[in-house]
Amino acid sequence: MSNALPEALVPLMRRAERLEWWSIAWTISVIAVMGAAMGSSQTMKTAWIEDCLSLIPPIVFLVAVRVERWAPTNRFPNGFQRAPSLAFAIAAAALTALGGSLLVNSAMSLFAQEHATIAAIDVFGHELWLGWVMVAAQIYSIVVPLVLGRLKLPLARALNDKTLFTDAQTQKANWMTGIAGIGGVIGIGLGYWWADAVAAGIIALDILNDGLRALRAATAELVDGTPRALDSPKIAEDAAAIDQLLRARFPGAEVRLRETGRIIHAQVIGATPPAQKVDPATYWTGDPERSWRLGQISFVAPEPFEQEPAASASKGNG
Amino acid sequence: MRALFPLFFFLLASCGDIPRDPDGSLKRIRRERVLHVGMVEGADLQSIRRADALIAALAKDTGANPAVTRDGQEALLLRLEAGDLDIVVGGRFAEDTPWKTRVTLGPPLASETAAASTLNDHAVTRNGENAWIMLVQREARKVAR
Repeated sequence: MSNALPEALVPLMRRAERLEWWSIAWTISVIAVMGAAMGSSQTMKTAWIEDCLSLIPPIVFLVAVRVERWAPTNRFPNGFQRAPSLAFAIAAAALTALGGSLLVNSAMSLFAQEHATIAAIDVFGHELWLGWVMVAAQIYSIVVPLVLGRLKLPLARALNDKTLFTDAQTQKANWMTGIAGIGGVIGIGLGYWWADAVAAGIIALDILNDGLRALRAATAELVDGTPRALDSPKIAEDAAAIDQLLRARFPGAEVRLRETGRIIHAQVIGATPPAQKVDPATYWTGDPERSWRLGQISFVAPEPFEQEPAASASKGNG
Repeated sequence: MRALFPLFFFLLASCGDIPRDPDGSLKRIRRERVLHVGMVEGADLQSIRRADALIAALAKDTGANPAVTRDGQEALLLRLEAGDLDIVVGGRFAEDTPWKTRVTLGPPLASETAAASTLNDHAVTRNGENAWIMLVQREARKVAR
C-alpha cells in the first residue's frame, strides 16, 4: 500500500499546512502580548500557559504530515502513518497532566486566599491600570484563535485529520477561556480577590478538557479501535457503512475495521478472497470523492484453505 | 460557559471605579483619617528622609494622619501581611528577596550596591490592595525623582 496522500487531498493538505504555519506565527504573537501583560495574576499566567500549549497541535500536525509521507522500510513495513497518532497521544497526555496541575494550583491559590497585585504602568506619561492592558491582551488572544479555528474546521473534516480537528476545536473553544480571563482581571479590579483564582481554575479546567478530548481521539486509533467520528467517540458513519456492506457481501465472515491516520483498513476474517484483485473503492458506498478513506481490504480465508495451505493467511487487495 | 456572558457584562458595566481594594484600604484610610505606618528601626538618615517625604505626600493625598509604629523589618512586614499596617517604609531588600511574593514592593526609592549585591529601598504594601498600591507607587515615583 502506498503512503502517498490521495491525489484529491494534496491541495487541501497544502492549505492546511500553510494555515498551521500562520497559526504558529499568530500564536507566538499572542504569547508575546500575553507575556508582556501578565503581571502577577494567576489568571493571566494560566491563560498564557494555555496559549503556549496551543502551539503543540499545529507543530504535531506539521511534523506528522512529513512523517506520514515516509516510505515503508524493512523495519517499519507498515509505514509511518500511525506515528502522528503516537505523538498526538503523548502531547494529549502532557496537556491533561498540565491542566490537572494548573487546576490544583488555582485551588491552592483560592484556599490560601492569595490577593493578586495589579498596579499601574506608565504609558507615555499617563498612569494606566495594568488590568486594562491585560484585558486588551486577552481580547487579542480571543480573536486570533477564533478566526484560525473557523478556517481550520472545514479543512479538518475534508482531510479527516484528527490532529487538525482537535486543534481547530480547541482554538474555537478558546474564546470562552478568554472571556473567563477578562472576567477574572475585571473581578480583581472590582475588589473581588477570589476572581483571579476562580478564572484561573476555569481556564485550567478547559486545558484539562482539551487534553482529555485529544487523548480520547488518539487512543481509539492506537488500540486499533473501529474508526471514530471526528467530533464524537461514536463509530464513524463511513466506517459503519463499510462494515455493513462487507457483512452483506461476505455473510458469516467477521469484519474488523481499524484506522491508521486518515485511512481505514478492513479485514474480512473467514471469507474466501475474490479471485481477482479488487479496488477497495468498490466497497465504498459514500461520496465517491472520499473513497480514498478505504485504503485496504485484506482477507483471512476460512480453514482449511485449499489453494494456499502454507502461505500467508491474508491477502491485501489494496 | 455561556452563563459567563451576563457576569462579564455586569463586570464591564461597573468599571467606572477600577481598581478597588478587596479589603478597602484606601477608602478606610480616607474615612478614618488614619494612616498606619510601619517605620523600620535602624534605617539610615537618607532612608528616613525619603520615607518621611513619601508619608507626608500620602497623608496630604488622603487627608489622613500617620500613626507610626517602629520595629524590625520582619516584624513590621508580618504585621503588614496581617492587615495591621497600611505601609512599611525604611526597609531594604535584595533583588531576590522572598518577600517579593508575599507583599508588594513599590518602585525603588533608592539603591545601594555593596559586596556585589544591590539593596533597594522600597515602600511596602499588602498584596492585592490595588487602588492603595497605585497611589503609593505614584507618590513613591515622585519621591524617587
